[in-house]
Amino acid sequence: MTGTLQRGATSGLLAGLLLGILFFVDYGPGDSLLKAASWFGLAQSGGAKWFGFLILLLLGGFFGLLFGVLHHKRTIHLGRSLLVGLAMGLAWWVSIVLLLGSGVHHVKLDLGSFLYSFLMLLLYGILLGSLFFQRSAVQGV
Amino acid sequence: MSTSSSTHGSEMSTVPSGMQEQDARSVPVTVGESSLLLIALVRVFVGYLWFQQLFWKLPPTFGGLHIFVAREVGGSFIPTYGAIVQHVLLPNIGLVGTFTFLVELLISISLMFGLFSRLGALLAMGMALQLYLGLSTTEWYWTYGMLVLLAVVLLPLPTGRRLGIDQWLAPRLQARASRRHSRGARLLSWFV
Repeated sequence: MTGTLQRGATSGLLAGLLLGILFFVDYGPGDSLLKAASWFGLAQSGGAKWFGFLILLLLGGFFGLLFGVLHHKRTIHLGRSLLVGLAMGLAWWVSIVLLLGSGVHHVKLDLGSFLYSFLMLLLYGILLGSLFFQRSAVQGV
Repeated sequence: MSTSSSTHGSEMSTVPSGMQEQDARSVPVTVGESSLLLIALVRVFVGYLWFQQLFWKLPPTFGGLHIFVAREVGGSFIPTYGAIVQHVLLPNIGLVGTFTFLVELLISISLMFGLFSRLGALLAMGMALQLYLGLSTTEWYWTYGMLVLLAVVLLPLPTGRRLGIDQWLAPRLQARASRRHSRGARLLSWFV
């Protein structure tokens, strides 16, 4: 159990870190990190970009942990790993971006912000599933 | 990328030079796991490059796309191409915008998700070539040249088979192609 959870959490953290780096690389630089901070209503605060980066890292780890729970006592297959990873990305988008960000903090969800957040979180899901599978294969699970 | 060779100095002296060269060509080049992960990361970043460029040309207005298409009229180093842009593309900017947006979205999804990543690289190469043709004289000459080369580098490599959906897709398509002699599966397996 601990091994699966640990692998899930570290894969999630790594995928979240990669997401944070991608959010940083833009015209700003790092202006996209404000989008992540805005899901929690923190876009106007000082150090909002740092908050954004931290949010991506922490949520990455959290959904990775959840991913690990769902893989508990199951044989690890690549297809299932990718599918559950995509489901985690979707769950992140629905719970944090749609319900918390748009619903509670009234973040505008137009075509641009929908495309950006939705596809980036699906990317997180694929990275999570793939990294988890890769780490499991290396450790001979 | 790591290469391996098993040729020893003492053996080399006894083998004719023509055969040595033939041997060197037949030594398989193996790509290590870390190298595969690195090129997969490069693929994700190139996909993200295309993804970011969607946001200044969103439908229904397509934002700043008109300015760039208009710049191709005088910017192309092939005068005929400038004329085509002026008389065919500019009057149909709505269609051009829709096509550009959809193709670039397809490239982004393909390269970021590692889904038929070679097809994504092929489309990226086509789009980058068009930009090179129309805009290379308006900016630093190599800007669009590098964009073409980035796509060319990703084209022959199976970059989606790590950190991507192609890793799951490739063995299934290849098995289907060999078992059922399916042309469709063979064609699709070419793109993963």
